[in-house]
Amino acid sequence: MSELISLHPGCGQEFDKATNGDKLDKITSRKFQILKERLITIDICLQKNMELHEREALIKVVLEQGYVPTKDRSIVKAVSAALVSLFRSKPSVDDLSELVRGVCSSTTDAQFLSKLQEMRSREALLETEVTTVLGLAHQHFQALIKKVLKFLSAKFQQIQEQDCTIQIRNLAASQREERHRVSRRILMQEMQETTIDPS
Amino acid sequence: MASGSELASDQLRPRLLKGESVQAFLSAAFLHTSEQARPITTELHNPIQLRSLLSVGHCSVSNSTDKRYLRASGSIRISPGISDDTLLSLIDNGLQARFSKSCEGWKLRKSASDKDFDLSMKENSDRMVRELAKNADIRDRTILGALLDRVSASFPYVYTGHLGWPLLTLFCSMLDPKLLVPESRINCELLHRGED
Repeated sequence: MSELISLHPGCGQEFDKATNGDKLDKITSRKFQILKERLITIDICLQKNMELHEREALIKVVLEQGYVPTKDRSIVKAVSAALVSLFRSKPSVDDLSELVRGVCSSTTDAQFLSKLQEMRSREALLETEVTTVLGLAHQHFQALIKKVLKFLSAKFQQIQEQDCTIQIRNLAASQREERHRVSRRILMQEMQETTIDPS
Repeated sequence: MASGSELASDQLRPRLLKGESVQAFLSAAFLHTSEQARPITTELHNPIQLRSLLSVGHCSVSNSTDKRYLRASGSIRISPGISDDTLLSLIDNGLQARFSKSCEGWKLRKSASDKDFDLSMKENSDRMVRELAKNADIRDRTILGALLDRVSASFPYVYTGHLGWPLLTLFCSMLDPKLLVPESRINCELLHRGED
């Protein structure tokens, strides 16, 4: 890449333009973002030990509805217990919503993906969701890289053609100018000789 | 008056002219001919004036580095630095009539040179397009390698973590794996492991 950029500096600028900022750092899939939020919610709630059936119910509810409260008494009890242990006091569900939002916004997609393995090993019930999230990440990366690659390939081609055309034109023009210069000298020499010696 | 001629001394002596009652002094001095440069680059000339300007006088090439062409004392001096367009104007408006053979020769040479220029441009442009098309794969692999490096900086586990192999295989399936660029961190060994 460095060789290509040294030959065509415009390519480096286009590459930087296409990859700067968070263009490659954020997974824009809405489905991914929803699952990220719900998995983070579950991860927060599961920090308090629960029975298997409670965990199953909690995971089912949160995955289906997010952190919307449920009427299931056992889940409410379990979530409340989790929240009490987190907040050291009895919080409302809104507190959980706020907490999740805060954690989500401060957790980049890269950090979230890096924690998935740990999340899966802590809770085997999340196996399917973790796989789904990974699948979404795969799809996103595949589409993103393909799109950027296609865009940059066309841009690089255009820049290479422009640069090469300038070089080709300069070379041909300098050769032509040299021939023209010689040709002018010949003409002037002939004109001079003709006026000196009209015969 | 011819250059270098001398006046007799009695011709330079003051004398009383016919009809004059009082003596007056008339002095005369002889000036040798000399060249006087008159740049005409800033002057506007219509075709008739140009023909008049170029129809007489001795033509020569100026040794001056000044790119202006000069006319002085009936001589035309043309700088070798004159542009082809200007020269063509001079040829079409005066020089052609005086030096038709030379001007025709110049036009032929110019035409051949311009033709060669176009031919050279076309040949080299075609060759460039062929070369770029031939190297398109290498270029795309280079871009892909740089993109993967860029993604791996944000998502390091794409290469090393639990996401590594599936993503790697996905990326590499976009291009022929055997064409992977050497500088990329992906190599054939990784690919084989990924496929396993």
